[in-house]
Amino acid sequence: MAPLLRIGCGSAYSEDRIDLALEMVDRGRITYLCMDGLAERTLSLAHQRRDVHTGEGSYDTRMPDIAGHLLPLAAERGVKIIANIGAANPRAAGRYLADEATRNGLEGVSVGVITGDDVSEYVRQHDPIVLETGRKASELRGQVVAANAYIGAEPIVEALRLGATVIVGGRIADPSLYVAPIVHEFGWSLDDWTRLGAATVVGHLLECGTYATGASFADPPYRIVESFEHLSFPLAEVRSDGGAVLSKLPGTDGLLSVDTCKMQLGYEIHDPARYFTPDVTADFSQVHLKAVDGGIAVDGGAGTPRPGELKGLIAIDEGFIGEGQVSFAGHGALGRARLGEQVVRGWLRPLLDSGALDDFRVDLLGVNALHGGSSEVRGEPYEVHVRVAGRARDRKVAAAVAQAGWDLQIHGPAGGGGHRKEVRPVIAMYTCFIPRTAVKTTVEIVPA
Amino acid sequence: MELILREIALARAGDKGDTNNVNVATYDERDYDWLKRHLTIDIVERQFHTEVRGPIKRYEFPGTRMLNFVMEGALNGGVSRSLNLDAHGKSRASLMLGIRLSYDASDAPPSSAG
Repeated sequence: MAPLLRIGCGSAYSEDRIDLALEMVDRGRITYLCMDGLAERTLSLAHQRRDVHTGEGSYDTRMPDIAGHLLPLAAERGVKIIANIGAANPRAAGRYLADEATRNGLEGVSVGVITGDDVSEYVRQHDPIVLETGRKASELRGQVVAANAYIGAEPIVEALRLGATVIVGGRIADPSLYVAPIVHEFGWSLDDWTRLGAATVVGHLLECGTYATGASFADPPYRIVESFEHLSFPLAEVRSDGGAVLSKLPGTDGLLSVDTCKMQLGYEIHDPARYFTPDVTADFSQVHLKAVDGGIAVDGGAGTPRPGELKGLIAIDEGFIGEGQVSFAGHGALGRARLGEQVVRGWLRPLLDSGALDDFRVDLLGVNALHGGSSEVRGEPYEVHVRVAGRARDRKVAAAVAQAGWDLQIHGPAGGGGHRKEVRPVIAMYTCFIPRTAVKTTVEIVPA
Repeated sequence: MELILREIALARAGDKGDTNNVNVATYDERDYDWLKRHLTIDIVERQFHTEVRGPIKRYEFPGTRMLNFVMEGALNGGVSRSLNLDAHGKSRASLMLGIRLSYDASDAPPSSAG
């Protein structure tokens, strides 16, 4: 029988729990730990944090914990780490990890750094069409902060071939973090589309962490998760044909079932027969899931040739969102909240009429904040929370919206309390396609 | 006869840009064909019309017996710029499960026969 490869998830987003990653390395008997630390917004935030001279702060904010705690344990257990935690500055992330490894006297650590996903220069020179608007990038209102292409498994496989034990990059596509070690260990070719598709299914099921193991699932009395106290990231035992058995760490809470895996399989998917990644056009449509001894068996993943172009994200500075809020409670709370909405719209009328706001809304939490006009109203709530929000290019305009929501507590209807306000910058993400020839990835080994 | 989708199905919502997808699976896989006939794009559009500006498409996962509804222009610009309280649209799974489906007594979902 061909050997099985055990791969564990170590992170699903930029602020995910390091304790769960540590436990996976400690008890998972895994060969690889894969960590996704980027979402559409996270990368642009990392670009914003970047100090042009030092590159400081432009990688995952958990780096001290990753380098100081996770790396030593992984080195001790012989677990290789693959992560896109380099964010906007993979080189600085690699340097940090190598320095920490040296400082802690870790044996056998070799840091691989993957660069090349930054396509800011390409976007500036070639001005691609933006999918959301159908117009050129230069016609977007607002300055380009950054542009990154989603890159795939290929440079990771190269880094593994060069002997790297810790690999960091920037905008590596989430499932590619998992596809790469599977390809490397089983010696597949990078145009074996069926197997790459199957590995992408495994990566997709693992990449969202606890989403596969009982998080965001409980809906009593229909869906019960007995305890959330001690959750586990998922891990997979992968076969050389790309099929796998998913499991979680023994003795943990949460839930791993066919239904939890179904929910994760469909998460953020459009056409199941054509899920585009940098590596393959994956086919999730014929995947089947079955409860077996020790976990959930995943089979039937397939694929067709990879897309000709890579997906790119363009980050645009679109100003600020201002948000002000206040709450009402008791008899007549809904009526007073509705009156508050009317009052605040009156105060902001001159601003709204001036066109200085790109968007504006008032929500009544407890009534219509999440589902708007589609909300099913059942009786009158005891508490209603008024939320006033606006987006504007000018910080002062956004701040005025926040202030108006805040002011409702003093100058509005009776009994408003608990007011709060916030103004935050907006980095909007737009999508384009980047030719593969414009994206040159490189692999460097940083000596520890 | 009428049921609320939540009584027979589970769902999860996710986002990519300004697109929201909600995938729906029945607790009992025998109900899948019934779901395909009853949970039509029209019915989903009626439930989501105030929140979704673009077209809604329906895809099938034959292997896992799930439906996937993909809604464009659903998040007021997407997570990075939306003023929506739930900019990811994750709570939309519950809006989906609140759909009421009417059916003839002779056409009850198979699971209800026990």
